[in-house]
Amino acid sequence: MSLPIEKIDPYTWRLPKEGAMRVDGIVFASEKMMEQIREDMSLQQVRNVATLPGIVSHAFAMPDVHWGYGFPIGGVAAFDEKEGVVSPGGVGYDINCGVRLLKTGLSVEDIQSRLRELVLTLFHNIPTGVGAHHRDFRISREDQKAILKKGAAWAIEQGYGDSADLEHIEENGCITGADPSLVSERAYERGRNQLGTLGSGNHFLEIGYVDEVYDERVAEQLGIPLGTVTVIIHTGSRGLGHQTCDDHLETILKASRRYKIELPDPQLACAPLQSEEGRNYLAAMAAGANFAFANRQVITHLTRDTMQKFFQRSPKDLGIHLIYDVCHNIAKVEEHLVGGVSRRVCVHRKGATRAFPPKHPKTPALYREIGQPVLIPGDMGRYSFVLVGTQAAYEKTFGSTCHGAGRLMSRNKAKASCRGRNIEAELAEQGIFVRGASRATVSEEAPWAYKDVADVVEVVHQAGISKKVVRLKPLGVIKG
Amino acid sequence: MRPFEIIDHTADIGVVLYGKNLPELFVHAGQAFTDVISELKKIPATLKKRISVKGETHEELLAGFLKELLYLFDTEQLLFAKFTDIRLSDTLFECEAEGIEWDQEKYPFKTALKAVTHHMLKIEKVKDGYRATVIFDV
Repeated sequence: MSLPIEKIDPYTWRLPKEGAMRVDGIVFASEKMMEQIREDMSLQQVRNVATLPGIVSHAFAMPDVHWGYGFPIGGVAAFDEKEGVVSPGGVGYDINCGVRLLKTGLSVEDIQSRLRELVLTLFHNIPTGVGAHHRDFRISREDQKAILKKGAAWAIEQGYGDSADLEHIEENGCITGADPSLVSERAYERGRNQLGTLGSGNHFLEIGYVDEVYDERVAEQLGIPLGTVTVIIHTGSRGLGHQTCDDHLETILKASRRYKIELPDPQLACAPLQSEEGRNYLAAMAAGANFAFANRQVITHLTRDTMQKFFQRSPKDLGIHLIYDVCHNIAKVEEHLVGGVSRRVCVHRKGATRAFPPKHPKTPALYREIGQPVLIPGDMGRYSFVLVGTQAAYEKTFGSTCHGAGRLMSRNKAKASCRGRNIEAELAEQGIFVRGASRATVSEEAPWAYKDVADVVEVVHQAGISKKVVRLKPLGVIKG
Repeated sequence: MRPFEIIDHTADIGVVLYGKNLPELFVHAGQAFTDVISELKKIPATLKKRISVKGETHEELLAGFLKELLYLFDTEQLLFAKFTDIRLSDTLFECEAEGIEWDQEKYPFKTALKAVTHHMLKIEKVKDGYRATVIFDV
């Protein structure tokens, strides 16, 4: 598709404002990536986002951008708090899908010598896959409401972790203003048995280690020097969040019509931030987000507990600490400088990660000198990355960066490409043990179904919107 | 006329549905849903559930029906192979759904779904009946 596009520098492109667009679009990508990005509708989606009322600065696309519902995945857009809109499509169905990184005091040899057994034990203890849930763990409706209000803090109050964890979670593990009464009965029912579960699809828990360091000083300050054994947890708000998005999408679509907002695509359905519908969506979204924070906290506890018993070491010896937890599907009202003036804007990050700079008050105290950690998972066969946020991101992209690799191959094509192949065996030859709840999911998630995340990370690093710190190599993976 | 086909849609999955008439289109939608998640022909019909959905258009009813199936799967792991006793008006869809309580150990699994989207959702009259496309968020 031929759309006007200008190259600003080797990693930044402009989609100039024209027609109904209120601002330019900005795409972060290499030349090679742009060839691919042009093949789907994502650039047109960036232009569509740029037409929405109250949009500030630019409509952004990160290098992992691909087509989504209304907003592209890998998109960032900020709207003026008074004049702008909020859109569930700018967050996604999986509210607060996000990533958490733990470090351990184990060695790679500790893991490799008992890898298969450890992965199977984790798979047994952490419900993974469709319908999987805890048999000995029930939460009441009152508990659910408390979770939606308090987020990760609820889990810690129940003994699933330490209060020190909270400072290492985006928004301290709780988005304020959550209103559990705006979450439907259906959403509660869908989420009833899902706290502390991984889910399916591209969600996973991965044990790995730091195999490459790009910035030794920052890696030391993060506590993840070369050889550190790590755990990545990737999951979101499960059925509760998906249903909450669906419920509010219907309301917001009607609101778009009532407020006479012209939409180039009905999936950009949005409502003014100052409207009842807009406020209600944000309050419900916050509730869904808090469920996801609690979910990742409970899974962290299960991981710590499993590994303590497995390795027969004390918590102190095992040293499993939370490095950071980031959202990559969220909308938040934040304060940013726009043209030198401080403004409150609602930043939508859909398949994008916050990347706040050094010295920012929301960057945890422990990391204030180096910047907020940014966790970018890759596919299960290659690697993931840890970066830190930068002042450039804060100035250019509302403190935002990419979130992952992005799919290269459709699910059916991925499955077809795996016929006659044994993915688990191929990965085992590389020293990676994968336990999937189903063969189908493992095939869909085959490494070659994804872009190379190293390319994605290189773009944001070169564009200056986050800085590479370490690379993580997988050892063991559990998937739904 | 084939009842449905499963299509790729970038990172998600969709179905193109066919039916000689609207009630048949809805039956094929239910079957397609099961075939996306598991394998339709391997799902027996041993338990029954009455499903009832309201809406203002046939598209809303179709989406509502699929959303109900997703809700039943997510909460009770119910999956259906047969849909009978269909009642369809402009504002109501009802049927008797027959299937099983799905168990990963016993039945195949293909793809987990997060939501039924409204993207491209349109029921069209075609030469031999009706066609509709529904995209699921995976």
